[in-house]
Amino acid sequence: MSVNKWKFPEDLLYDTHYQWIKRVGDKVLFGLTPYGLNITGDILYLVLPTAGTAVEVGGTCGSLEAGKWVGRVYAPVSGLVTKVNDMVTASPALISQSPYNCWFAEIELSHCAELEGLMSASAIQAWLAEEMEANA
Amino acid sequence: MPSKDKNTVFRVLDSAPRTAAEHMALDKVIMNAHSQGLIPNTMRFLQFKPCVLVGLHQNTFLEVNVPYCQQQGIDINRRITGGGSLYWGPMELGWEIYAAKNTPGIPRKIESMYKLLCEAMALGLKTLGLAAAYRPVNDIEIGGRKIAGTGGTELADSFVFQCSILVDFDIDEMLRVLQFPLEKLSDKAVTSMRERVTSIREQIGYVPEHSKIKSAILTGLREALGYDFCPGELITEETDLLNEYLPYFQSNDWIYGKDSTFINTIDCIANYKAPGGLIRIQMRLDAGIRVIKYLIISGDFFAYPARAINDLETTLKNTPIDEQHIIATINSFFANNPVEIPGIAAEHFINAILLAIEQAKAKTTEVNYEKNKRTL
Repeated sequence: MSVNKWKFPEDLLYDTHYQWIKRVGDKVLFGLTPYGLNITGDILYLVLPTAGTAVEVGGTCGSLEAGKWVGRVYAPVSGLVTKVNDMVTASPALISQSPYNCWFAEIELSHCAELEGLMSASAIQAWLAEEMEANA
Repeated sequence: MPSKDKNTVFRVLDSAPRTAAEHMALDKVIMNAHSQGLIPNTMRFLQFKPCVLVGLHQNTFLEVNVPYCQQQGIDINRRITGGGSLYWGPMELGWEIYAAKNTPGIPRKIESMYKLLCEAMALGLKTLGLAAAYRPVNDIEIGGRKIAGTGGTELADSFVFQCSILVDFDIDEMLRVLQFPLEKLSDKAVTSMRERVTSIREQIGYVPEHSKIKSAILTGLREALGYDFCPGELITEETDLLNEYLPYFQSNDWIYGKDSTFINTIDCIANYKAPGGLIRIQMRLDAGIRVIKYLIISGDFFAYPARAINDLETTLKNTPIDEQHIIATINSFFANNPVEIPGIAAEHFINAILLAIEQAKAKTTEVNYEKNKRTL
């Protein structure tokens, strides 16, 4: 499998859980990349925190079920969940159709500096290439 | 063959049978301890006192005959992994591995990981004289009948893969304990279930000692993956965590849930008359009518090979309820499998499934109408 096969838009950031992150002012939206979806398989159920929940960077903040696998949703930054995408939780099949349009939740950043710990499009591609080689 | 490093040497935990709550709490304990780097990669065998385990997101009352279990002293508990409900008799055996996602030889892609570990399990069962094989996505079968099922979850950079093996399985008891989308507990229901599952005893005529089955499993994993296995014990941090978590895993909050995120289900039955005979669909869907959770296809037709219907059921399990997706899935199944069913074609199964979905939708509408009427 080649990393070149997967699209990672330049205007987004990425974490090591194959999630994409989009900064919008002092908030971020995040979701699962097509690569992450390929790893997990089609998502049948998605459980997310409710608006108002405080989350911590790297901590689990939800779960997803694909077949008999329960995966986790990880908070890409610390902050307060301000919105949850009800459309995606109601129809997780939408994620397979358009992963970059299906944001899971919006988080109001509590530490903007945490964004520096996320990867750019080129950084995630380099990281994935390394990971693929190690797991070949 | 992967190179030997500390990640390919697994600690083996093997205890006497425990209660369902203890095992489920231990799953969380070991998962957490592994994700914090406190313990090495671990292989654990599980034997239970008779119990029923529901999947993480399931509604216990819809899946389990709770009064019967309480009457018979059968434990009920909830797994930390997904999937459907399982009945565990006293002889059934489980195993699971907790490992780092970057363990040599373990694919990152879940589907590939299931394939690899199920094939390793099948290899182990072969050493007992069983003609076991991997059945996508996550089962092990013998001649089209399921003998072992698997599941898993992850936390940070760790994952757990679990496998349950039917050793001396009591189908009648399973049908009493679990709520199936089957009509009453008739002989037909039992026969129907017997055609879909098997056990080690049924296959080889006796129940081998558990130590032999465990040894066969380790052989399969060793041969397929090149890992080493060394007996071990829980560390102090794990026993402390177990004591801390156990009360919650014994609580009604965990077992029956008060969480609105549980997935409720709806059962439906449809009869579709095709030129070659009647197709009967007994199906369980989530209440939102988004996914086929489970289905049994029966009728008065003849399928060749006989396993074709079991295979079609497996293919349709966990399929999103989208007409085009269902049509494509069934057409692709018939295009890729040499199936002969006189007088019945792919389109008839499509119509039967869609009819069952319509029945489920009508049932939901009816329930909502009754609810609204009560509110008024």
